[in-house]
Amino acid sequence: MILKILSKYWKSIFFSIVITILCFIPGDRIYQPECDLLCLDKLVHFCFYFILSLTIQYEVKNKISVKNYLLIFLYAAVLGGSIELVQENFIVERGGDFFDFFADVLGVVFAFFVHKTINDSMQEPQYFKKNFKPFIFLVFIFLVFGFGYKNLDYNWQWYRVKPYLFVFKNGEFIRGLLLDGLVITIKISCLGLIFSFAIGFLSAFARLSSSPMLRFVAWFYVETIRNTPLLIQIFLMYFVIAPVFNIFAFYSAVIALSLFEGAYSSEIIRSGILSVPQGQYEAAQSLGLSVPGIYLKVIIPQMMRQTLPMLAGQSVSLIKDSALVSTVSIFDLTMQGQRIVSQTFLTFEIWFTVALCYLIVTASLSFIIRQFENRLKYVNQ
Amino acid sequence: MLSNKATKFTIIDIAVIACIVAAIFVTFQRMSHVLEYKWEWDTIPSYFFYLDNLTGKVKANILTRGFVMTVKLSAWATMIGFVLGTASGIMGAKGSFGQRFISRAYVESIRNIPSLVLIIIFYYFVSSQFLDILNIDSWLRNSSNSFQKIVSFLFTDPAQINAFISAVIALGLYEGAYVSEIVRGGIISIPDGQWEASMSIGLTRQKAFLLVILPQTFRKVAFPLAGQFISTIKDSAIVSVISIQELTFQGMELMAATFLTFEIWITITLLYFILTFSLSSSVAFLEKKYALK
Amino acid sequence: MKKIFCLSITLLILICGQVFAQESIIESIQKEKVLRVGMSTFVPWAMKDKQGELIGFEIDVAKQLAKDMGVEIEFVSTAWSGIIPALLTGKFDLIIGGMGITPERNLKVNFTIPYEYSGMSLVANKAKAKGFSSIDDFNKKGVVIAARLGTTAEQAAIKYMPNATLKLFENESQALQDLHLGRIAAYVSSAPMPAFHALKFPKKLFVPIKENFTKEPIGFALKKGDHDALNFLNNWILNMRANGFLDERKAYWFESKDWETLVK
Repeated sequence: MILKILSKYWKSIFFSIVITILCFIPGDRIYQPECDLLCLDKLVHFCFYFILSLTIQYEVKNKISVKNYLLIFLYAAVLGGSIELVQENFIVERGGDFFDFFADVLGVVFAFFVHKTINDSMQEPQYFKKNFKPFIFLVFIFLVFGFGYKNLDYNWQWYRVKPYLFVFKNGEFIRGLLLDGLVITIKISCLGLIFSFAIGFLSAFARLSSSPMLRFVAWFYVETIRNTPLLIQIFLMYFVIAPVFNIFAFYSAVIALSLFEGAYSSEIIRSGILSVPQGQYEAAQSLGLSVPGIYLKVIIPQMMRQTLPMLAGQSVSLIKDSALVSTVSIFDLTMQGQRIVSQTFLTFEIWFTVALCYLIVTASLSFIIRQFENRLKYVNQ
Repeated sequence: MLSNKATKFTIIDIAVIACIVAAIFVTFQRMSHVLEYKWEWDTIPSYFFYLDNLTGKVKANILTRGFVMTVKLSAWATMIGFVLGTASGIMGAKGSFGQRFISRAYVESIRNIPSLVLIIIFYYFVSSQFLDILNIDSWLRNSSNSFQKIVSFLFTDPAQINAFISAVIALGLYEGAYVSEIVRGGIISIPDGQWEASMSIGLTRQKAFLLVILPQTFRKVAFPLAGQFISTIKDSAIVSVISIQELTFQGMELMAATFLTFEIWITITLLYFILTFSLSSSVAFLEKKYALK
Repeated sequence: MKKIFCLSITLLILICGQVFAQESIIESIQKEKVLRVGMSTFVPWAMKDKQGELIGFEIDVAKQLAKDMGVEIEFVSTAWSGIIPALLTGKFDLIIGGMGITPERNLKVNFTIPYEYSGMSLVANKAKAKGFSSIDDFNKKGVVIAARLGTTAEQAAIKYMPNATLKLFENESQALQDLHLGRIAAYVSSAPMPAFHALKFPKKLFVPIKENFTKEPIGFALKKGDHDALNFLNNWILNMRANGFLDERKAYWFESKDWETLVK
């Protein structure tokens, strides 16, 4: 009976064993568990990798292909979360940790990639040869980071990071310092986005207008901003220009950021407007629309389709560049990270968490905008 | 767009000029009355070059040294970024599933993290892995004086070589993600007809790629890549947070020593502007001259 | 096959890196013939003169230490908020930069016996802090003060003036700029910097509190586990105290202003 099951699922079992061992060589360093080769921890992981492999086998057999990477990630998150839940509730010897969850998610994604490679290679003989090198490369990177993790002679204390994110006190959700910083970052980014688009539009129209002075002013603005680093512009605004006009510190940073992104948006919008064919203008004129009407009703909607992806890139840029305002003591995410690190010396844990927060915010923003873009494609066509 | 762009001076131009003049006037008014700022431009040139009293020679001071360091940093970072980015771009455009996954993972993870956070993480975490084991700075210190001089000229002196290398690699990684996207876009934009034609001559896929597609790609992406080099110069300002002695860092130090805020920041802005503007103008000029018809 | 071989060699090297025993920095300094010191600019502990060379109290102390060890000296200028992580990841051997000995820091690094004592003081903007003359005047909601990120000044500000809004800066010059512009009421820093600065700009700034409101010992910081180095440095400091070197340097840099011409 057991032999029958084994022979049917030998592939999945083999795969799960390999992945469990591979994930535990560096994982051993992360968790530092007080258990040996056959402890409950590893068995739980093994079970979940087994389930993952079965699902993939099922897909392959029924010719379903999981092309959507987001689905893979969600699946990994669910599995990782379940691993954590099981561990927290049933394995008393080691308490679960918020960051073990992420380690598990990574493990599942890695397992998926490995399994897909092996599976596809079994169907297409050349596949394995083509993918062997990148596979080995990935395993190498994985192991290097895993060993390097322990090698660093550093006492990893991931459990200390959670209070800086959030705490549940008496059933109330209280934001930690890092989340406070994230809120400020989002505030700055939103304000910056609105202002930069406004400045971008104004500047684009100025450059396309018939007045040479306006064209010159807009050209001068764009060239100056594009040829100096953002950091220098923030300092210039904060230390030199803001004192002259008595601008509050927070807003001087927002203005500097908007001016910077506005210059780049201006170029994008300008090329978008230029890409609309001349015939549209003439047709609109012949219909008798006034100048603002032409732009609002005919040109800009057509331009939007092309420029929306680039403007999405600008928004992502804005969120990333907002990290620089930490140099002038605005308490955004990066500044809070620096502050916590300087007091508690949890250098790597905090900085990795900060990077992860940015990653989540920007990735979700890009994802939302891409969905919006897809929607727009079907509407306008 | 609606009318032809005749260079006429209309009332709008006069209004614009009046606004600008008024703005400049108000600025100077406020500076001298409200802030009571005393301009001290005469001390600035000595921070570029100074006369050494002992040897009687003219030596470069911190602003010049910072400027040179910025250029060196950007040049090396661009080279590394170029190599990394091209490899990643080729993998991302015409690779197998594994290669495309690696390229995509690399590009997405770098592009979604602020450069500041990336440089800090890289400096503390990754660089200490390799640089401590390789012990480049002690090897450099123990080598001959002339070798050290050459290395100082190309890179930097032994004291800062570790920080310099980690900054160069971090910047290179950052720029490589953008180069990768440019190269990938370039390869994808080559029409399929080129592939088919080269196959019909009898070239294998690999040879077709090397001899036909890649040269065309480089001609297409050469100018965006030059633009990326200019971007690197601007991004190099960020490495001042890990105390690399480049231009922004020297500016902060100078401000700490002398408190001549306005002069220093205006000077540094001008230096960056001159550097990048001259480069981008020459690139634009070359682009017009050698544009693909 | 060759590639796998190369990869495994690299892996082996990385694993071996773990195996090497950590030797004392005394040994490694003698071998390399150079002492790498991490510091950050803090007037007048360490600053840059007109030629861009480093001068200051800490610089003198470090140079004397290197001379007594018979090696060259190298200064690794580092951002203060990241100076301890930089020490722990081996970017330099010691921190000689006016670092205050605190229990939190001591959990991560070892400190020598104190070679100096310092205290916190304030320099305030005359317009914004009119009439303030004690710590309690600053400890009110709505008062904005600043300190340098990662210093004991930051901790003192949080401890003694928790109601005030605290701004943190990586560099002193940025905080002082804010002070000049009236964006903050006072800047907290180790004496004698506030007093020096108030003397430079008597029309705008003043020192509201006559005495320092904390007292803290200053020591060298080094990695944990290195007992030989700790012993060497402690005894070196005792020697320097005995022969008056520390007192003489302190008098020159902290009490007189003879060095001003070198800087500006």
